[in-house]
Amino acid sequence: MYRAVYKYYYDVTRFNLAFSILIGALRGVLSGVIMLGTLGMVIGLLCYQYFQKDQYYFYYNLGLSKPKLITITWVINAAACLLILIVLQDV
Amino acid sequence: MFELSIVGMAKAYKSQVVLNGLEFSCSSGNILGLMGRSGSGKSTLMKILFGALEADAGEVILDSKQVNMSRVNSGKRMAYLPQSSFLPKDISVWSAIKMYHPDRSVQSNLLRDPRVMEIKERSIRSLSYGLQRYLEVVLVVNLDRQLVLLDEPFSLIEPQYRDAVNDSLIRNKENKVIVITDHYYLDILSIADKKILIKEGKAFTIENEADLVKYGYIPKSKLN
Repeated sequence: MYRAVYKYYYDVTRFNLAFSILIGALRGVLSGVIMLGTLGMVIGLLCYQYFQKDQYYFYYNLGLSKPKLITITWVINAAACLLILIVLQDV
Repeated sequence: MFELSIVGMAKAYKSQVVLNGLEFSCSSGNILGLMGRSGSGKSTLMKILFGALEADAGEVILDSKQVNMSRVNSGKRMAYLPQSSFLPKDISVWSAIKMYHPDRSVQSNLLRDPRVMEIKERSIRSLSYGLQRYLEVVLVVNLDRQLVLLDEPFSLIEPQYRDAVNDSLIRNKENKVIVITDHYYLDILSIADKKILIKEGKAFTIENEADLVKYGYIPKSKLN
């Protein structure tokens, strides 16, 4: 189960990361980090929906619903975003 | 022993009625074959059963419990093979097996299949469509679920894999209801314990090719 969740997280977050790094490069590190837990997530989910939506059935068969997958991914990224912001504040 | 019952299933897309009070039932340990022309509602029914599409009316009762059709049944009661390929392409066959079947005894069983053993280390992307489809069927059918829904499992796969899919279904039908739909009606006729033709939104029980001719699914010239 964890392997499957990690696979989904990785697939969504790679789009998110690409977008957040781009924003970070254009508007500064802080903006990039904030994007990771907010709009970047939306971009990641939209890209997954566009390119890999049939793969949701892979997860449904394992008992992982779409809301459950999205919630897990969002919580991890929001926590990572918060953690990085706290570290950046201390630096 | 349990039963799958479909009662008064109805679905329309705008003004086009696809399912019109469809009813049938099937006991566990059986393969139920669904046939019908393109657009007759086979895939629609599969999606409704899995909860991926909402019906306008009707009930699904599985093992005396009503199935909630308002959301995807991603629980432990059903498994679904959609028409299109659903495996992530950038993982290996072995990774997919481990994700779907963490139980080592099931993994060993799957690897006893020489076709699966041969491709174990390959990525899903590198497999031919037929092999991918075969792997998908094997992964889904071996899940411990009461209801297994297979939408076109024979689609575009080579004849030797068709036989392997048939074997896999027969091996795994115990304690399950397997619902299978495909245009390869000869495969359906040979493997299914109960056969149904969907026509004009209703279900008709089929016994043989002559019945398919009678209901206009195949022309008389196709009779063996």
